[in-house]
Amino acid sequence: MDRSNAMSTVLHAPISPADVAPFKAGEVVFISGVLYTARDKAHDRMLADPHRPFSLQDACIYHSGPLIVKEGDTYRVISAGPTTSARMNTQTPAIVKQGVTAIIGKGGMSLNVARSFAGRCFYLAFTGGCGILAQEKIVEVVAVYYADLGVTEAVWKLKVLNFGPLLVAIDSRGDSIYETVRVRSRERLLHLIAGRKRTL
Amino acid sequence: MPSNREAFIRHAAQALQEAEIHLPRDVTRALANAARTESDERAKEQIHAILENVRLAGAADLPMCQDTGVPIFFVEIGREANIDFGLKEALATAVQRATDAVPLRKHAVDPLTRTSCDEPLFDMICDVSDGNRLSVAVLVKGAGSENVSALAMLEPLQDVTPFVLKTIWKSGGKPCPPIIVGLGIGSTFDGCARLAKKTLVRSLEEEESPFEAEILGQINELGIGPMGLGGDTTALRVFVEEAPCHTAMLPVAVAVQCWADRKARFSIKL
Repeated sequence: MDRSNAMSTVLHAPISPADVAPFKAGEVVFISGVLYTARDKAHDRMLADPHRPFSLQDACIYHSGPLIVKEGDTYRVISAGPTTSARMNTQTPAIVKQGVTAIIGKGGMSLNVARSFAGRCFYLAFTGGCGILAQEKIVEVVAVYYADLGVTEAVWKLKVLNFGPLLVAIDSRGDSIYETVRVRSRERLLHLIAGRKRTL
Repeated sequence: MPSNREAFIRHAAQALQEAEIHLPRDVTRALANAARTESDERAKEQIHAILENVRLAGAADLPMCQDTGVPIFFVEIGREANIDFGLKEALATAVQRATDAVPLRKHAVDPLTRTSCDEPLFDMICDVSDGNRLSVAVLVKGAGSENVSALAMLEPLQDVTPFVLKTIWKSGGKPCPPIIVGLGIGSTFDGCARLAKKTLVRSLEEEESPFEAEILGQINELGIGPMGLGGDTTALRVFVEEAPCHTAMLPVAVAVQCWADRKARFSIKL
């Protein structure tokens, strides 16, 4: 971990639980190293596969369905922003149990997921829709697994350099910016609709 | 006389390519304004990242978002236009061409088996108008925002605002706010959805009605903010389109669009 400058902490993935634990919701980090993309189908496959061809120990999962084209023998990443993380709410506690220490995505995850982090995993928000900002930080497509799921749903092993900025949106203690916003906006919603006449 | 098919396909493919790569100016201006007025620092940073991404996509000639979405073509056919080709087939060819050229992501699947299929994914909504032109507006719709869109058959005397606000509250950060919201009120079950969706090709700079301004103010009061991380800017604009409905019905559709409000138009004389 390189914390020479508080504004630009760079974590090297795979990341140990000890490196994840000190971060608090609201802090900003960058990641260099290896990410594995995974969406709905890949999560099911990773959990069901007794011969998983890669390790989830200390792994960083990136919720993304990258736009990648094959050019000759190499892959070219065209655009690779995050996908909506909430779709993976149900499978995520099981993935965390397998040793995953960082999850990158957008839109946030459930309270149940936040509780499953148990001091050894955190959730990092990358700005949604920013496919080119993300693509510029991907230096290599290392491998593709479960290619039969299709380009979008397959697991891509990517090497990244200073990937970010990533906002610690749910920290390892389960403190979640989304939950704070959800509770506050619910109060405002109830206030806005209270006292409205049933008919126009 | 040569067929108009090729010219139509070329225009449609170009419009789709333009929409995927270059965010329209009305949207960029609205985002830049929001970055100035937003009081939350974290929210400001999210909008700055979006604007930087838009700039990079344009400079590199690449799709701004990896979810290159589902193109929806709103086609207005002039009564006197000479169309000697199948519109649906021509649009399929145009989508295929843009998919190879841009390139776009191939994410079409069978809805139940969830296995990939090769057919170009798009929707086409046609209207007939006067004149001899074929006018097309294309809207690119990503899954994050489409998945939170909602429709309700309310009771005829029910207030529509709570349904709209609850829909936006429930969606939180999932549709990539700041969003654009299209409301279709009246018509029928499918009619209100079409009304709502078609509003999303309108310019954000069109004058807003008092009702549109009121709903926008209330959505932003929720404080969901860019990417659901809190802030003043949850929505950039609300559009409302109404149509008469049966006295025993009140259909309401909320069509949500992400900040990447990708849209383009063309019109050709046939």
